[in-house]
Order: sequence, then C-alpha cells, then structure tokens
Amino acid sequence: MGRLKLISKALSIGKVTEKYPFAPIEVPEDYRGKPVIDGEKCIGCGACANACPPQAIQVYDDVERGVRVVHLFLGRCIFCARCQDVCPVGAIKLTKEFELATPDHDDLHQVVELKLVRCSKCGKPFDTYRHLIQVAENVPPWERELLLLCPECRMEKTSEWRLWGCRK
Amino acid sequence: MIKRSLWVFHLNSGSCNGCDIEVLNMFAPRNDVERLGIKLVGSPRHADAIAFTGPITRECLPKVIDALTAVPDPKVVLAIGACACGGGIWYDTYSVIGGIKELYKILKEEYNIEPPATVFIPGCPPKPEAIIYGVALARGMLQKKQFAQVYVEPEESLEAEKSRLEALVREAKGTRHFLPKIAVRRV
Repeated sequence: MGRLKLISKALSIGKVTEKYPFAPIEVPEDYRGKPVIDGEKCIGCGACANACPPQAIQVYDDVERGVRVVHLFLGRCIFCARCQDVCPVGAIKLTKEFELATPDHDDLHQVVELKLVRCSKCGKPFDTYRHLIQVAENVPPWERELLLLCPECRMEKTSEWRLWGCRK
Repeated sequence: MIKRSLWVFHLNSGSCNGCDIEVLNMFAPRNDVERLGIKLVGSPRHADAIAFTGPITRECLPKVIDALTAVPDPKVVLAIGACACGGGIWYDTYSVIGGIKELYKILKEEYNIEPPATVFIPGCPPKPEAIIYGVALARGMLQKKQFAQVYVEPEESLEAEKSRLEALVREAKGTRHFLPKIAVRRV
C-alpha cells in the first residue's frame, strides 16, 4: 500500500479515540459490573457465599451481637454473577457500574447485618427471621412445628419421636 | 496525589495476563491515554507510578520489593485487578502472598518501609475505561464514586417479621399430616 493510499484511508476512518474521562461512556447490553446487595430483600440464607468462587461474599454469624453478617469484599470479586443466579429472593444484582476505583481500601466493602432468632428451647441464636419466614411459607403447615428450634434441639426432638414411635 | 503527567512502570507479579492486556489496551488508539500525559516506561527509576497486576507469587516477591523501592518518591501504586486488590481467586493459595495489602504488611514489618499511596481498581480484568478512571483519580482529576455500604436491619421491620413468623407457626398448630387427597377424574 502506498503512502498516499494510507493517508486517504486514515482520513476516511477519521478519529477513533474516545473522550472517556471527560465524557461518559456506554457499556454493552449484558455487561457485568459492580454487585449490589439489597438489604431490604436479603434473607441471609448464604447461597451466594456457597456459590462464590473467590469467596468474595462471606456469610457468618456474630453470636455475641446476635446478627448474621453478609460481607461482600469487592476487591476480590471476579464479577461472574453466580451469586445473582443462585439468590432465591433476587436480593443481589450486578449493575452496569464499572467506576469502582478508590484510594481507600475500606470503600470496597458492603455489609448487611440481619438479626438472628433465638432457639425457643436453649436460647442459642441460630437463623435469621427472614430466612425462617421464607422457609415457613414454603413448607406445608404440619412441618412448621420444629422451625423455632436450633439444629441440635431439633435433632433431640426428632430422636425422641423416633424413640416413642409418635409425635407426642 | 500527583498533579503532573504520570509515567507508568508496568509491574507483573504473577498475573494471568488478562489485566496486562487491558493495561496495554489503554495505550491503543481507541482510548489513547497519552493524551492525558501518561506513558509507559521501561525502568522503575524513570517512573512516577506503578501499574501493579497479579497476586504476588512467592518467587517474585523479592523482585517486586526491589522494583517498588527503586521508584523515586512521591509515587503512586495502581493496584489493577482482583488479584492485586485482594488476592482474587488465589487469595489463600500456598504459593502467593495474596494481594497488595499483604505485601504492604511485609514491607512494613520486615523492611520498615511506609506503604505508598495506592489506588485500588477492582475487576477481573477491569475495563480499560475503569483503569483510566483510576488513573484520573490518582491525578486528582475526578471525584471517587465508590463508598462502603452498611445495612443494619431496622427495629420496625424486625417487629413485623417477629409477628409474621409467630402467626405462621400458630397457624400450623392445629393441622395434621394426612395422606394426600387423590383426585379422581371422571372420564
């Protein structure tokens, strides 16, 4: 290709550089950006923590304060959207936001704190109110008897039933 | 933060090359960052900033420390990608240090070096525009948009949930489990 042809080609294409930091830019249709947890909807079931490959979302119980903490650390997130796929209530959504850069490491954390129910027998906190409501709505009424017991007490109860051969 | 043109040294500490390709993409004609005065240089001694990618493998830890200390002050570190920000999917692997925070801990404890100013750019890999945004942030051209979010369950909704759960359990008290009804369809 001769030099003159090259110049004409360059002129026909024109300017391709985007003015990004001074003008906004559009992201593609199905771009996976910053995940956001909606605290109003979250039930604290831990499905997202189970599915997260780098464990950017961690769900743990703080027994002393009686809360379940859903902790998302954006710095480790790989934006795979598995949490969005598994969330049973649609509380976690990936937005199109990509401008996440920050000079402060603490800005990259998202925390949701949900209150825990205490076991009606031994008084140990074991599950969130919202999760129990979600479960109670989705099981038949005769299965709801043991919902307010912690797993250990529930195990004792069912083994008693086994022993006597009936629900007493 | 530095107000003048940034000269950037690209430091790869065991990255998968995804972030490196995005860094090189910044210098291509589409989002040409040389218009902002940013230039890649070949030696850390010429640089103002370090484009840091990768989770820092054990093997390259001494080289990374050499390169970091060779950069003259004032300097900025751009931690690019999930690996550099927090270790990524290798955060607890035996052969990596796991992110730039851990590196700073080692620098502080063993070499007694204060950590330099750092801009964290999460993403796996981040878009070239996201890196440009981070660089603009480092130069003080823009305001940051990312803030920590904390949601604590309010007391009012807690009361409603308590009563709802009790109602659901009370509703179940009288019911018993029978065999499911078999619907017979007449032909």
